[in-house]
Amino acid sequence: MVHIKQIPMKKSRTGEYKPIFLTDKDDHLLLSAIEEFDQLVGSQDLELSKESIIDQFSNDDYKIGLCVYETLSNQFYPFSKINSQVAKELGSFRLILWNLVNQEFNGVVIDELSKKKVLKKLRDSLPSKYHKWQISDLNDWIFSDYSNKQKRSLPTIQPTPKLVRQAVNSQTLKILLKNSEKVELTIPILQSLNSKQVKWLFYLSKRFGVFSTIEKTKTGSKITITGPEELIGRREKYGRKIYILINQIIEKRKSEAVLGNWSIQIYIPWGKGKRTIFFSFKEIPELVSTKDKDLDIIDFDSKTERKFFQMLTVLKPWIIMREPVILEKNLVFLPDFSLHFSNIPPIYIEVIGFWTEEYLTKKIQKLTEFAKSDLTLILVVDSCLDFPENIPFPVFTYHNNKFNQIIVPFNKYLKENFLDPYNKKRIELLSKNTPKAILGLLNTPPYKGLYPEKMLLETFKLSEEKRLQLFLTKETVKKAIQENNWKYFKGVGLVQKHAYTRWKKLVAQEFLQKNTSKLPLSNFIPIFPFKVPDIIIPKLLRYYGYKVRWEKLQSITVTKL
Amino acid sequence: MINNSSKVTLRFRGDDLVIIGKIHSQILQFEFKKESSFTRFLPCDFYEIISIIKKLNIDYETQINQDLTLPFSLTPKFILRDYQRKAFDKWLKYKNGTLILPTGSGKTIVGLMIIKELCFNTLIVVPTLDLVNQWVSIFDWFEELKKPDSSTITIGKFGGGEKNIQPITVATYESARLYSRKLREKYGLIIFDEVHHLSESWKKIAQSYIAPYRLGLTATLEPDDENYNNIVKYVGPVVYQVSPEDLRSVGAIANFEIKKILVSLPPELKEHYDQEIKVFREYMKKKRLFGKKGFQKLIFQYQNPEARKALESHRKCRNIAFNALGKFNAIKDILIKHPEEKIILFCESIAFVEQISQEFLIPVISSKTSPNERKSVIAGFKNSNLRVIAAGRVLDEGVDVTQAAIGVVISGSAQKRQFIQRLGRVLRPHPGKTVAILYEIITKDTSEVGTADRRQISV
Repeated sequence: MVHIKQIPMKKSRTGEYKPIFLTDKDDHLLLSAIEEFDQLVGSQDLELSKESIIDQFSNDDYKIGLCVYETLSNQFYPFSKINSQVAKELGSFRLILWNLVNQEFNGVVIDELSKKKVLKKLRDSLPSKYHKWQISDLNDWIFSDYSNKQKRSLPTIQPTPKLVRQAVNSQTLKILLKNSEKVELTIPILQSLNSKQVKWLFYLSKRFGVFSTIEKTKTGSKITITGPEELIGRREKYGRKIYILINQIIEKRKSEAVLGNWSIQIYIPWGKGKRTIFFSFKEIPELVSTKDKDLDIIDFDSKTERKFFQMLTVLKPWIIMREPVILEKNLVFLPDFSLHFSNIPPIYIEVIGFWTEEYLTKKIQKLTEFAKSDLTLILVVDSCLDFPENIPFPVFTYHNNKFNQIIVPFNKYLKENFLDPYNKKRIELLSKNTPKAILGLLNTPPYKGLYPEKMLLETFKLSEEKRLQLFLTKETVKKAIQENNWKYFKGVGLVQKHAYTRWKKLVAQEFLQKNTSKLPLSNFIPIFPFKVPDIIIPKLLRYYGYKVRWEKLQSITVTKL
Repeated sequence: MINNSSKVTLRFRGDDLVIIGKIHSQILQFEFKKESSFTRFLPCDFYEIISIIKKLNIDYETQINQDLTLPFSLTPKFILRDYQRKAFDKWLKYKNGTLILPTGSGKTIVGLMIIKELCFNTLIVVPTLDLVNQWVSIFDWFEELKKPDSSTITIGKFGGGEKNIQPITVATYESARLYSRKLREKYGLIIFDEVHHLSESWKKIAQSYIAPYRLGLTATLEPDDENYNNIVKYVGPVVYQVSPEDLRSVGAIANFEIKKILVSLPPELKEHYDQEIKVFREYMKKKRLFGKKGFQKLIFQYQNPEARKALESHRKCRNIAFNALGKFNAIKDILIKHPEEKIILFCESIAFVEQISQEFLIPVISSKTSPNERKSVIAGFKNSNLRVIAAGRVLDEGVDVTQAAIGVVISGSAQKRQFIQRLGRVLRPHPGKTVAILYEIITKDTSEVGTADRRQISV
């Protein structure tokens, strides 16, 4: 593995450093390095060609040769590995072997004959598939995960100078970023914080779970990303994320043909001080693409967020969204989650764990700014944080990454502050104007065109509470339709099936009793519980198979066919 | 934050201690760093600051927990030996300090007695998970641990995935550092086992905890060790030291012998060795680089192709000398000579120790060995299932294998510490063990001779 101090760099007059990237002019050297490694395939040689490769590049910087060697060695021609499951099995076989050696030969084998004897015994004690093995093969197999048995493998992809160049340059950038305290991207074009590009950048950095801030400068904008060296834990993963982020930015910039003016500054702890690496995006050569490392797979910033998300999923009836939207005031802020239900305004949640003190200070600054808006924000904070008390948002604290303790109070808070008021409003609205309330919920297909009044055919008999439950949301209505055995009749609306059947019988009975095939509509009005009988009953009777006509003087007759 | 009253408030802020209010000049001597709003102090100075505040009759308040008394008492089932009693008394006199006692002499027991005597909540910090388990099991040396309400006491473990915090907790250095904010105000006594590990990275542990009483335990500590100053500053100076020779004379450790076995290189390898060592020596002479410091300067010259070549030659020589196949015959002779005793083979190179394992069908433990295999091998060695084991550096310190009577150093560095630690593996007293022997197999007419001389101490 290449160390940060082995990365080739050039010092500028201003004291900053620039990494040395390979170009196509180095291809002939890369080709001979590849040829050297091709000869090593199948050998157990560890470092034979190191000097010959390093020395080829020594005119420029020996470190370039070292990076090329390491890249070829680790990425293209690694030593063969045994997978962990097999290694586990080998370990257990070896334990049997050691015990046999102890029993038969008092702990050690001195000669070949004794060795063969004990290996034979081992073979017999192993599963039957090994019983036909040669002793020499068993001897090789049982120690095959030992380092001195490993051989240099054939590359899965035959390296070309271009591929090696990309891999080396990617590795250089990756190591610089992984060892950074801070990374600054300077965007010199005058852009406001609302601009599309800056928004995209900020959103991308949040998507990757890197800590960043944006500020306006005199000549444009600057994005500062906290580097892995500032973290106490999870540095490796975080460093990788930053690398992918920068890579994605480079790829997008290239695709938009707008490379020119962006630059990057990387601050790296170096001995007792720091080293600043500075270069423009233009100077970054082609790198290994990281597109497949992205982006659609949901990856949480931290275990804490993942656990919290799991807790949120048990809370009913809330719908959870991750990193919902970029909220803009004077600061750009992307909360971790939002909760949605019906037409309650979104409730945003920000999980604050411990990372670095600087990050926390900046976060608190942002929150203080946001307190001036009318957004609903809940904070979930690690108990070991020195969190100020004067932040005007509700705060729930968790301990040891466990959210069991807060699930009940959190749910209670949501219920008391959001769900109950919402339900109360709903009940009020339903009492005053039920149709309007339902319309507000159901003004979408497949209920488009349905008159709300008609949906309540059977609900007039329901208690207020039941009515509220049924007509709370689109989903509850759909559920109610299914569960209550309703059927939809165009022009009529939803009717319960049994009611439909009952009314049909009653209509037939009326004709039988009166012993006629033609009756005025008024005869049937008592059968149905409709408020607007003139409109609905005729349509329903038509469904029953009767002919309904508007006669003179606007009277309606129903004729049995 | 502005505090206009004469009262001062002490609290944590991040990793540090801050004092809000007017700070007396006597307290300012402890100042660690200054920020725009706060003057910061190290938590380890908390009690000293409090005592000055009290002496000056300054009104103060703090939320920092100061109730660090152990909620139960400990009844030992052991008696200290004379030298252990001396170490114990010396430390108790200052209540801060480092004890240097050879491996196998019972440093841990002294630590236990100190815990019992001081009766404060204790954090024991160790370098490896094996040692965490070892310390936890050693509390069996006390009578059954029970609280006043008769509930059983558990010894806490912190590290390797476990986070069980108790009044007495054993943690790895790494966990103690990572979770310092969680643990810092819970303990009155910190014991740093293998305190020579208190490097620049780990000194933060010593700085971040308020515990006023600190004990360092080690088998080796020299004033020229790179961590010596950190240890003296944050744990305490060496208050007691005893040599293996002194302990041998009182039977506290096994009688021991150190025997050197010289092996030769085959002629063709000798020729190769001579060529490579010539390249190295000529460069060193040319650049007037001498000794350990000269070698370090050589490393910094790596950008120079000639220097690189010299370093590479040095590495090849070392490889040839340390891993000479002639050593196999010497190992074989030792194994034949000691058919009954328990033997540990120590080696620098994992590849070489694995070769030994295959040659003699001996179990090997190295940094590559899986935890399960390692655990089984050590358990097997302890309970007589296995008589001989080979190890890389992992067995250099920590793991308790008292049964080993013979140690064989197949290759090692020039570090005295490594040598003493390895010697310590065979020095622990064990029933039936009369004399412990440490063999050193050295390739003659190579640099390994000098390496062996440098690590050898007069014992």
